[in-house]
Amino acid sequence: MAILELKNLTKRYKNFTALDNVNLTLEAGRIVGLLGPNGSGKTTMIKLANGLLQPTEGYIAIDGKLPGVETKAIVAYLSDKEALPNWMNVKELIQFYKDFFKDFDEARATEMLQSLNISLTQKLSKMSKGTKEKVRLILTMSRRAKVYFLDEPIAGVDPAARDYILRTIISNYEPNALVLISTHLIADVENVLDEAIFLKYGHIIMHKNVQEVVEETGKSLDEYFREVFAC
Amino acid sequence: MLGKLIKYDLKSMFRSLTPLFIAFLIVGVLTGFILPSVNDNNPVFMQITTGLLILLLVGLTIAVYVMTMIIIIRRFYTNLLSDEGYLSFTLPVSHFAHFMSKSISAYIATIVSGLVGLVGYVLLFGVFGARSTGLPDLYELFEAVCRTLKQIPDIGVKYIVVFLLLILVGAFQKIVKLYFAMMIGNLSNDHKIFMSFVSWIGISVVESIISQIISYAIGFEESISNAIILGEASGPLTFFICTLIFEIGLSVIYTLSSYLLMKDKLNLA
Repeated sequence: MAILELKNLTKRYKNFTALDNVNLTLEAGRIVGLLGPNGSGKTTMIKLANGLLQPTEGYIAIDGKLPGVETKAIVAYLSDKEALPNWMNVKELIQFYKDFFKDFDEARATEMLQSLNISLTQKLSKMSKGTKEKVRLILTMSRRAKVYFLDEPIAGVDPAARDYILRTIISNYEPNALVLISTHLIADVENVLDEAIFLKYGHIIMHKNVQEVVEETGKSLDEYFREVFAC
Repeated sequence: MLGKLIKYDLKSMFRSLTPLFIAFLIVGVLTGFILPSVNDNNPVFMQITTGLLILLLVGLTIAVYVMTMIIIIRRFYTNLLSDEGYLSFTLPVSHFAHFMSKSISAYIATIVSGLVGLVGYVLLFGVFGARSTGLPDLYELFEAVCRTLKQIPDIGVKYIVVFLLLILVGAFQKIVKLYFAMMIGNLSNDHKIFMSFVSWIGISVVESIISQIISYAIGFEESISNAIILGEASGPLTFFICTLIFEIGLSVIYTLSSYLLMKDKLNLA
């Protein structure tokens, strides 16, 4: 059964259609890239899946259910915002995740934090931007979720941190889970993706296996993306 | 889950309020302690210190209430309507629980601030009294309070109960009204804080007009005037009970409207 299903999904704002009659089905156990330039509708799609927005038409279902309390319990979401409470230290953040997410694996989180020498007593407000990003990613990937939505996880961090983030995603996601990574930095992620979705002006213009794209076009995903989205 | 939300809301609010409460109580005790020693024979610096302490106490009293208000607003805005909202609204918790957690926590913070204010001045006058006239006989004090309470007629007890309920429900209504205004302001894309303020004024005006219309429609003012002229002690009581019902009604309307806006029209930046 599809773990994520979008049926005639449309999201309209006053004078702008962010997603236009989108249909999509994704299976569990795959790492999928949601790729498109800024303003293509990637974040809107992820916000709709997380119940942060309501569709204008159509629906989005996760594990057969509309976004709500039940789906939030099985979805791990890394937003593109600094969403963690700044006043907490790492230990308090771990306790916060334990309190609200039954699938949170404290041992996994602690191990990753130790490997990066991030102290449990360190306050989020005292951390550098890169360290904050890592803490957010560690907390998200320490959940044994069925679906991971990662919205621009490598934007705004240095190349070394990007490698760490991608390694963390690959080595920590649940094998039977769906991982949806939204990004416009294709070159960095293409090696970890099973499938790629190209999103343009709120429409899906391509959804294929990455291997298939490479074989059909004779180009890397990044090269093909640049060709498709050339200005 | 509601309990866990409240736990984190209270932790966040009292993190900033507790130092202020402690400072207020310490200054209250210090003032009560120093005040009886001050007279015209004291050195000038002593008199200046006392004056400053009293000024500080007044300043802290205002600060306690202003800060409580600011923290109540800030917690709602930061945790739900700004970047933190991306985490809060993806917790496996209903929108209603989020709204109730903020309202209950704000209510607790308001009540605690009120109590701290009361305790501060009780301490001030308690210490002041003890230093001026010696320690009071607690048993006698207790007896005096009981005697006074027994002298209150039945109708007076009813008034006290209704007044207390009015204060408690009124405080809750003001909090949910504030949050409702913030939810309306959040619908705006560019000027959320300004629009929240405008919404609050708008709601207050509508609320006032409706209460006037209801009061006029049921001929309240006339019946109360008659009751006062005829010397019926229960006349104004009926008015206060109706006000209480009106406040409860407003609380329900603001809560449900805010919940619906949160569920269907959430507009995170």
